[in-house]
Amino acid sequence: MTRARHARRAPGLAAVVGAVVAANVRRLVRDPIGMAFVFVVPFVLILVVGVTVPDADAPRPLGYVAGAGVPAALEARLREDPKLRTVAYPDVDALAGAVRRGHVAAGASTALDPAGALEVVWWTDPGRAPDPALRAAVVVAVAEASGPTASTPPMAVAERTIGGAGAPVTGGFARAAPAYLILFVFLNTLVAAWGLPADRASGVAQRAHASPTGAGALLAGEVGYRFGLAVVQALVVIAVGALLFGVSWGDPWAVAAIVAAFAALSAAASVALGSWARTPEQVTSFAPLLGIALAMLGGCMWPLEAMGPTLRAVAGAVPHAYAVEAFQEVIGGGAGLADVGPQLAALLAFGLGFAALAGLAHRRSARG
Amino acid sequence: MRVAWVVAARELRSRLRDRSAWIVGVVAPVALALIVSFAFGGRDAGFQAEVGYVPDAELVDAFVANALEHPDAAGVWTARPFATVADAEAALAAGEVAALVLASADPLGLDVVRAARAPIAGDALAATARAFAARAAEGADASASWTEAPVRLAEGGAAAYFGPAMAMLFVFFTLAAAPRSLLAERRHGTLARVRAAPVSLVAVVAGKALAAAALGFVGMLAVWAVTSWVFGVSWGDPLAVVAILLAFLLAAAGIATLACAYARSDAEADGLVSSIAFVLAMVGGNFVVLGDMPPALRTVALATPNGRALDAFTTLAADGGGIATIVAPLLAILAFAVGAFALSAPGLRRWVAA
Repeated sequence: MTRARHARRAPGLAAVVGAVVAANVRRLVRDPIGMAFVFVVPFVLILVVGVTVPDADAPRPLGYVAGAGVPAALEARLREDPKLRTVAYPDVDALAGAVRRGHVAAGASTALDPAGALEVVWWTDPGRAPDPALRAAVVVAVAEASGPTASTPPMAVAERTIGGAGAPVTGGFARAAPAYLILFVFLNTLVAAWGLPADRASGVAQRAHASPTGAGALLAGEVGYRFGLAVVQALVVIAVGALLFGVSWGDPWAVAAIVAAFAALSAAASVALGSWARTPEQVTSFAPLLGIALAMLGGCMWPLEAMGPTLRAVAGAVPHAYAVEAFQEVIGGGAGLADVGPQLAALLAFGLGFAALAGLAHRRSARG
Repeated sequence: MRVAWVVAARELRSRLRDRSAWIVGVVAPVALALIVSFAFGGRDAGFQAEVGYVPDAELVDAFVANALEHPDAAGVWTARPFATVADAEAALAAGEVAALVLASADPLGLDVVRAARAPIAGDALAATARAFAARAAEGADASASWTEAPVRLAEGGAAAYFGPAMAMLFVFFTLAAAPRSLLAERRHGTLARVRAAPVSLVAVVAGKALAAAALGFVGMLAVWAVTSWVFGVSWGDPLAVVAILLAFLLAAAGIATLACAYARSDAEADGLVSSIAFVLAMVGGNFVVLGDMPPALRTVALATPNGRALDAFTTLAADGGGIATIVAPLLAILAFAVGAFALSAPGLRRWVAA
């Protein structure tokens, strides 16, 4: 009889989820630091990066030393090249020092051999991100400064993007924006896990579990709140990118699907961490660590292309890499929803894995 | 002073029993320093891309032989032949190759086909093709000879930069433990009990700060030792390295104190310190080498203690000089520390009064 009365009084799933989400939102709104971390920090960082990161075709800093007898036309040609920002150095030691310290991306020193032919020494630091396009620009400049021979016909070089309607994305921020979106959505959603151990410490979680509401509904509410938080953050980054920096995000259905899939897996990961952690301090210690490490491995801090094959293989086990790749396809390649199916499937698989972990950890923490 | 030592020893014992202190203070910075250093300085590090082509077109074959497979480009490009253009395009669409170079009949030349997911390979291949075209137009007799001159920041490469960068990033999280522990003790009422004894609050604060600083310093030393051992890298003159690490420790402690002086709870303190540490790391050059930053961002970076410290580490590794070569950045970092502690004073006074 009592059980039947309880069953009648038990609120529906939607009501429980709504109540848990509302309680979490009230806590977030009352926490100015949490609000700042969710909204202000990404905004400030995106603003700084958006304003300062140059376009892909912006001039690259080149150090240059002119050898004795080398025609001044070459230096003039290098200085005029819109792809280069040429800095002259008095000797090769100064040039090598500038390359070593990273003051210039690479250096070129020139000399004439006894036969009068031009010799170019190319100075680079192998420990830094390589820049084949910079070298190629200098090769073109050297060739043009030497003057074409009349006998050689000109050769055209055309470019197109496969499957894409438009030109390649050259805007520095347009290339960086998806990576920042992924980085902040995952990191901030993970940090939001601290509420779960805090609720257990204050006894709120135990009281909720003692009520007729099912554990599954409570879990769905916690996941739902974090999913909403992740989606709102993604929308903030998308709006800032589009309104302030003119980023064209591409097909809205594809973007919505990527955001939804990544937000869902971030929410599940957050609940898994929050259920596993014994104290809120453990969450605030581990969440930044996990968020930053996965962002580094998943191509949010540097493009995966700039890494070697070993780390690119490691990135295959990180969900961030699939989300960044899907955004690149949509923004730069004009891909639609169907085109990013493989990446979405990978994100959903990660999401299911995190959800399974969250379910197990939540059940254990509810028992404990 | 004795009270401060007792508090420091008790705090250290308690922190060392906590596994998360080890993970955040030592394991995480060491692991991330190794990951980044391998990413940019390992044996197979750096940009490498596979390019598809369809043989038997004279220009394309010449480009593959003389540009992609040229000894100068060793380790960068791998050329993969396909039977037909359709096969090559299918492989590019499937992500099997990063870009294609095909023959173009009208106008005569090369057609670079890019993939949206590989913008760097697209940029680099197009630029290489333009360079090849320019050199072909120049004519073989007039072409200049090219010699490679690799110069490294230090023996061991990227670890000389990213080792200190990761050590600095995580020291914030370790240092935040001191004010967080004070705020937690206030919340639990143990601080009020301690103050009821003949013990000054300054001694308690000093003890907790000392313990957190010691752990932070050990974490940075661990990164230094491990990166030196694994990559054979030298961060520079040991005395100068210790001086920068201590100055940065002080600046980070000042910033953590500033954040916590105005926080109302330990959770708020955590959030503030994490936000500040993350922003400083993002703009200060902890994730992107200062020299690779655009000039405007580099100026912003050098306005942070992180950027100043990394600039000093770069100078030490590049020049092999001693402490005299890094006096200016050292003073700048110490100025940050003084400024942060000065700004925290009103908040701390209000805190003590409460």
